[in-house]
Amino acid sequence: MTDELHPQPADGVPDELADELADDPMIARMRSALDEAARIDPGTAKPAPAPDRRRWLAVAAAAVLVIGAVAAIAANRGNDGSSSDDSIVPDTTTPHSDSVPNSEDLNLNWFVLDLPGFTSQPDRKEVCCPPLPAPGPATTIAWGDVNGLDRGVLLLTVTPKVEGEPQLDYAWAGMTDERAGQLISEVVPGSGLPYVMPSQSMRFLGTGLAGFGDLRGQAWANSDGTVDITVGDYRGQLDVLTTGSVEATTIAGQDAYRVRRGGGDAVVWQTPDGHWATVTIDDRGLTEREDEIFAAVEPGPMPSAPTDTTTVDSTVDSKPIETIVIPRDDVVYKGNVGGIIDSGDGRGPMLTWFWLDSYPPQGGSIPVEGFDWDMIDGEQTANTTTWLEEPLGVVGTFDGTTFTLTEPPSPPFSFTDDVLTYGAVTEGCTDADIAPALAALQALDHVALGIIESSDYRWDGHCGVQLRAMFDSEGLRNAIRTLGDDVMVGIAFRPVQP
Amino acid sequence: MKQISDRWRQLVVAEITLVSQASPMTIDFDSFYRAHHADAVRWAVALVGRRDVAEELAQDALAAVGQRLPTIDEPAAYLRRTVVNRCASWHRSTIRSRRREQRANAGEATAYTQPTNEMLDALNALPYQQRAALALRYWADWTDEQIADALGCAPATVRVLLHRGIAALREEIAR
Repeated sequence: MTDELHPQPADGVPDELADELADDPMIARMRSALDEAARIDPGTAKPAPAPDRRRWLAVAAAAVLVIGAVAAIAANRGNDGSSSDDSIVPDTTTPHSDSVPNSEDLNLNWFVLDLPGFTSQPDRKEVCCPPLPAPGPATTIAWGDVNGLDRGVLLLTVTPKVEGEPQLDYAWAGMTDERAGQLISEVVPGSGLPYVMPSQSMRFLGTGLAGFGDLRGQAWANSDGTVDITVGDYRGQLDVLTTGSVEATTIAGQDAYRVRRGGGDAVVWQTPDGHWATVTIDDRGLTEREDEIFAAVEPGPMPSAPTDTTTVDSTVDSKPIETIVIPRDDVVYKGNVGGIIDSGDGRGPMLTWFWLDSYPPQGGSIPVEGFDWDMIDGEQTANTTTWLEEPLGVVGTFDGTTFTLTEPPSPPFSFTDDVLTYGAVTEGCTDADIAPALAALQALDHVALGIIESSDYRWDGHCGVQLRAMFDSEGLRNAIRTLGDDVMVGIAFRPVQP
Repeated sequence: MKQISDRWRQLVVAEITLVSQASPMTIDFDSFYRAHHADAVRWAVALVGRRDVAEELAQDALAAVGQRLPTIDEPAAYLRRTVVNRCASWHRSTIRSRRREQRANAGEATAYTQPTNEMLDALNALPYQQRAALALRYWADWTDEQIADALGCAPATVRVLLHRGIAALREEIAR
């Protein structure tokens, strides 16, 4: 293993190594088919349809490429990777990367109960994720009616199996069984999320590991009962909507959904920073005060600003490494993104590197400020979503959560040092050779390291893993050293040279 | 179709001429169109698998690029990105209509031979980025870097897409 990352020419791959796919018989068949398709004049050819359902393994193979856009990760911290490939889970015998954080470490909008007579209980925090045995945790995906969750919400829980296809469980609220059945029939495998909802009447709400994810919680109690508030990653909070009747409401100035149920009502809503919050009331004597209690929920102290670096335990070798990759916010960076999307969910426009297979598309990696749709041409709008699915070059500053443009977007930049390599070519690649590196890769804190995408990598003799991160940093380089001898690294943003 | 294409090109040239009257810069869209039309159609065929749709998408892309010619440093690269983008949008917007079409056309013969039908079915079943990487690399002869530029990803990611795409294609063909 070498000690440093070594910049390579644009593609980082030696020219003399052959492209092993070029002579593949399947490629020859594809060429022949496209030759024929290109010859047929319009009006006579009918489209080749897509099958209604594809096998999970094929989807998993595609999905592992997308360990997660940072937005999805930011909104569902800790969800990265684990839902992408159920065959790879962190080694349960090694310490996890995150120790118990300080209260400010969970960078969340927070809410408190401002009601006399209630005593606050100790702050609770859960940091994703504890070691999980194979086949890994279930993933939950939520879609809601574009006109409001009280018009319909559909929840899918994907439970992986050690062998065979995963189990799919649906739940719904606010809609008829007939409509739910129709929507379920439209759910298809996606290239980013394991499953996507093409219906224009529904929009993607959130996804996360069922029951796992960063979460902050606190209870307020009096002699009659307890009120519990939680904020964090999406981990299936909308399941509560299926336990009673749903109605739209507001809480702490936010649009929310209240579920009326026998055991005490609950309210669930998405916070301004894209996380999910719930307020639940137990039924020991507070039933008559539920309206009063929900009205007393207010925004709490804002989280502290992100720090430049922090030190946590290594996932692999237990040596301290820097993992928070927040560049200085006074440095101007430039880089390329896959486009811009505003999903109409209140988060505003976001830079994105990945698009989910749906219409309108779903995506959004990091919020962008200083952007206006007048700066670009060619954007599309459907339902509440406006997007430009086109690679763009962006220049601006980054404060750890938001990219602020300092000039309008441009065509993508051409970087000559786009890929860095770490280590040498490995001969005779097998799955077993790559497994340790993949496990180590999945155990990394993708959010903290700013990792946009990652996967295994087999090409021209390389047999390892590849990743692309937002920024180059010592923390990233230290983490990369845990990934074995053959790593390809791409960097999306780099400082603008004065 | 040729007449329609020529007529469309005349309209675009006229539009570009009007734009150029406000600028001293000479805009030779006609030459650009002639140089890139065939390529644009070929790329779109790779991405959608249908000649008729490819013609329309390629023309849309050429028109979009033509309107920006005065301000684009690398028109060919911009055209590649635009074609890939337009074809991605077509796939998105036709997901449901293609399903309906599939049901309506079930059992009917198409204009393609059976091996081609099977391959186009299999390509349509792939995630768009995998399909784009495979078809653009091995049929349209793009480089990894050109594909990466158009898809907005790293060249290393393109190779991962190729690796996974060929595996997924084999699975689809085997079904």
